[in-house]
Amino acid sequence: MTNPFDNEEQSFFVLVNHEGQHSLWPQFAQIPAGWEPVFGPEARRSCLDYVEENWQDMRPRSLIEALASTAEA
Amino acid sequence: MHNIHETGVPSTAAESVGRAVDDSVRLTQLFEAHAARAPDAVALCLGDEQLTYAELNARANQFAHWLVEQGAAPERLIGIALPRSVDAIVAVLAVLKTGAAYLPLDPDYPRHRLESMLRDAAPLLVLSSRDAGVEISAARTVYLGDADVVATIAAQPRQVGPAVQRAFQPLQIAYVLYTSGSTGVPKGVAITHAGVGPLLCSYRDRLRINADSRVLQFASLNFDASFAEIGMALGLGACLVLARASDLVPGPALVQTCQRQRITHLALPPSLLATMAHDSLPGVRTLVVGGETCPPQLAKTWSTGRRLINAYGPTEITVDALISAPLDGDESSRVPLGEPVREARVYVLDEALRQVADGEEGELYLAGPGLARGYLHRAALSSKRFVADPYGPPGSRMYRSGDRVRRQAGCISFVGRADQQIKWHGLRIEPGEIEACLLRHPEVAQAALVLREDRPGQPQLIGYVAQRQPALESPDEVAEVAHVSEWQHLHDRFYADQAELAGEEDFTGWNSSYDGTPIALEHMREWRQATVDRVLAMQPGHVLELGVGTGLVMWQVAPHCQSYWGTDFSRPVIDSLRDRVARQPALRDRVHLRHQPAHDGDGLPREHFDTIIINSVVMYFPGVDYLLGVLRLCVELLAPGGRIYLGDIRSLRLLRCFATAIAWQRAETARHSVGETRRAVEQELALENELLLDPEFFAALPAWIDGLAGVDIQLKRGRCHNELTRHRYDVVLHKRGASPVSLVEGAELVWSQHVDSLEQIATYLQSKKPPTLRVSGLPNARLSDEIAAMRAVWESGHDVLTRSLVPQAGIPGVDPEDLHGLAHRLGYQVVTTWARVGQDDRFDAVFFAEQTQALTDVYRTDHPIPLPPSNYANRLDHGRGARALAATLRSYLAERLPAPMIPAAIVVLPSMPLNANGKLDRAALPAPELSRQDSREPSTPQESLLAGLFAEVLGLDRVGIDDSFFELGGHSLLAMRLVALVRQACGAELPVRALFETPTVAALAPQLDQAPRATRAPLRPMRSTEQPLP
Repeated sequence: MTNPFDNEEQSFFVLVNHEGQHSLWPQFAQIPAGWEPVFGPEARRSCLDYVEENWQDMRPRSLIEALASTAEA
Repeated sequence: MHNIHETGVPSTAAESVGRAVDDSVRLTQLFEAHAARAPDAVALCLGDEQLTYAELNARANQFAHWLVEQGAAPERLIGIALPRSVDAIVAVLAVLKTGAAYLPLDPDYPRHRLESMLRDAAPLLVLSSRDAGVEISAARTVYLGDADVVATIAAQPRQVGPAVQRAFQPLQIAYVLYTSGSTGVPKGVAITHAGVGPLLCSYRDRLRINADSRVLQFASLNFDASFAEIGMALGLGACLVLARASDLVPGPALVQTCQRQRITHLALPPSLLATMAHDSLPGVRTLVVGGETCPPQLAKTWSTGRRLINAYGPTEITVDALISAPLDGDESSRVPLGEPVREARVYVLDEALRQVADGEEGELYLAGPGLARGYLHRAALSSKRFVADPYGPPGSRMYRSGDRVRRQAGCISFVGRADQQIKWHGLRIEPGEIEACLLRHPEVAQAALVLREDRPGQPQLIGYVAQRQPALESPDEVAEVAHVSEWQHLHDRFYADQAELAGEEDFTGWNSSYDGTPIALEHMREWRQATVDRVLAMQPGHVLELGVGTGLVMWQVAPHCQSYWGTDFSRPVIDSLRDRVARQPALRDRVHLRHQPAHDGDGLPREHFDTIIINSVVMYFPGVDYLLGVLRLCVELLAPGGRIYLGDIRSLRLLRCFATAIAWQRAETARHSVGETRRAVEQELALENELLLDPEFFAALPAWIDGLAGVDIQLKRGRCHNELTRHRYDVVLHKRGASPVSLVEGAELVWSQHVDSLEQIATYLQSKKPPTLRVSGLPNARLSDEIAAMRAVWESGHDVLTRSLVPQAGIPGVDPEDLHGLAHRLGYQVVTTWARVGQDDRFDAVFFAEQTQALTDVYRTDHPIPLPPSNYANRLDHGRGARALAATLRSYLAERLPAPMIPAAIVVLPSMPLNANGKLDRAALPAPELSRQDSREPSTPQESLLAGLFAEVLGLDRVGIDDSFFELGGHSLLAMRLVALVRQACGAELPVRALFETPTVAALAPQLDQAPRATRAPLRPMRSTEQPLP
């Protein structure tokens, strides 16, 4: 049994949440609350390439902001 | 009422942890709170050393201030490459105090792996110690023991200050752990502070930790279990007990540590717990198993009399996601993984991401504050493992564990893996990583790794490779490097196994080749004294010893020298020696120890030494070219006129004689026929994997190595007759600048032509008073018996060999030591050396009047024009044939992967089996054929018992008594299991060391009778009736 996230035959979205975190997501499943599709539906490989290209700063957004405000303070 | 975040000092620990569920607390705040509330409580124990909470906190504060000065800050990584020590714990606390994250770096990891981790993680700096032996070029390294570092840290404030107590965000990284990656590249998991509070709450409640608890720090820092141990002790006001690695070896060492330190809480992987005697941990009230599946039988055994708890969590979670209720031993089929820790969410989902009904199988997904932030710098990988959580709060994520589970009444049980990942010795292994590593070897075309269970309950990692046909570019070089590391691996395992390297008289491992028993102490003492006398007679000033080992020579010689440098390719050996030297003020300043192989001249001064010692090491060299390389290096390192002492060279000329003597000894007990014995000799010869050399090799050295002024080859001194005095010899090479006296010219008497008694020699010397006299062709009394055995085996027609059938040697022979007595009486010097080619069992004695130590031409060569060097050595065939490649690959992997990832066996196939789709057909991979076909059947009850236990532990149908435990896939963990089974079966306490020394049933069986009785149980012929021997 293939895990839905590993199924190369499927189409996928790339989702992003409020923290800027990216998630691969199979097209067949409902998109969970708090997540927005930013890419797809596309082949799995293309989605992963998109993530690699676009998720550069992997720190959660709230942390980036908090650290910035601490630094300013 | 202030909250914790503002004051850092809550009123009680329980309260603080109780409130920590809002995830606003970090481990160091809890720790600081305890330090404020109970400053005198003991926080840390190591041996007799103790640190109170106040002391530990003060040290961590000072360290943290220093770290901040170095640039430590949130989201920065600090590498920790320290052995188990107070410093390591102080470092962890200090890093966390600064808001930075720590990155454990196991000093035992292969350098390749460390360097690749460092390149990926790019830590601000790496904390290490000089004796950790880690040489890292990929990051700035600070050695904590260095005087300036110690002083700078000690000058820092002991109080936590504003620089350190910075505002902290729960989503900051606390630690990064690297774990096996399926593509062959390890990946760094970034764990935050957010899950720590809830986790510690769960520990407090379910493991019953309180201020009286004493938690053993068993896991190395590289496993997240160590974070749990540190956290549950120092975050909950308990005492964290540290121990040296040797005191944590499962078995008697661990039992003793637990007793001495009154351990109440202990966490172990099940496979290690399985090696412990079941009643051996009476004081441990809470025992946690985790890291791999716990067999029901083990749970049953260990749940009586204590709380036995299973904990589960992949590295991607803050240690544990599930913790079980106390196991009651009734878990008939599957031991439950546990129930979610506080605030954790756990889903069992089907392939459409729907939650399955209770009792149905699905894949386990984990969510909650304990979730890692992802894999460092691996965005795509993170996005497919940490995915949107459809069942949690909006925008939350879940981690897909890859574990197939079932939920029943809220409790999760493990069913299997969804992917190729393997759990092995508590370590998570991606076969892809090992396969990728195998594929990087130039001789491997294809590779596959499987966990086979050819025998139920005895899984083994087996590697399969298809060999690449074209030869290596430089096969010799690769083979030689592999050979050295193979020996190194053996040495490291051997020494790591010893609880404490014994004192200055450690003859462990010096076993007789004839019967496997240790060589008698007085023989070993005489052997060492002869070596030491010989070296001291050279009046050494600046000495270098290559292969210093346990320091058998060093301890005796160093006190007489100005400086003594020692190198060894085994780090545990060097570490242990350093420790002991450090305790000896007289030696501390003149002894310099370095961890490097013999061919590596790095860091050694040129033209400096007057004496270089290579004692009892050359036989482990991979070949003559390697030896020549080492000797050329030695000549560079020697000052003009200096000398190289090569002790214990094994004689090639006598190899057949030696092999025959060994086979004869066994034949006597087993009443073997002549034919069987001859086959055994051939096998012994074929299996010889040490380097043996003809004396002609050394006589020819000046032709191959520039800068030599003389070669002095002598028999070993010693009254005792043993394999050392019979089959080994010593060589001294003089560097240009020395003027050794040549003994090639002078009077000569041929034994049995001109003289046939010592009296006649004495008379000649007294009457003629020659400056030099050579008596040639003396029969060597040390070899009389073996020569007789040679004749019996190779010349007799008797079918059964017994001692009575072996004709007594016709010539009784002359003991070389008698000549020394004679010379002394007459005021002469004498040296003894091998006789000419073809007179293998004979020797020459050369008397001379001159008072000198520097000699040359003691041995008279028969080859004025030498043959190529390889003609004078046995052939060590590496890189040839499947078996050799398998051995090479094992070493290759050992240099690059942690020990538990090394397969038990590597099977070399002509090509990989493929299925109809052209993919690897895993089912068609053959079971490894591990048993040596010519290995004999057991013939005594002890041998039967041991062979049965070998087979059981190794998961084989049959083990012959000549099979090596390690060649059959044994490893250190299985070795401990075997020892435990031997103890159970017959009550004998077989030291693990003995198994490393003599890994065959034939050699170990006699030791069963001599082994100390453990407890109970007399010798039983079989293990149990339920499991009959095959």
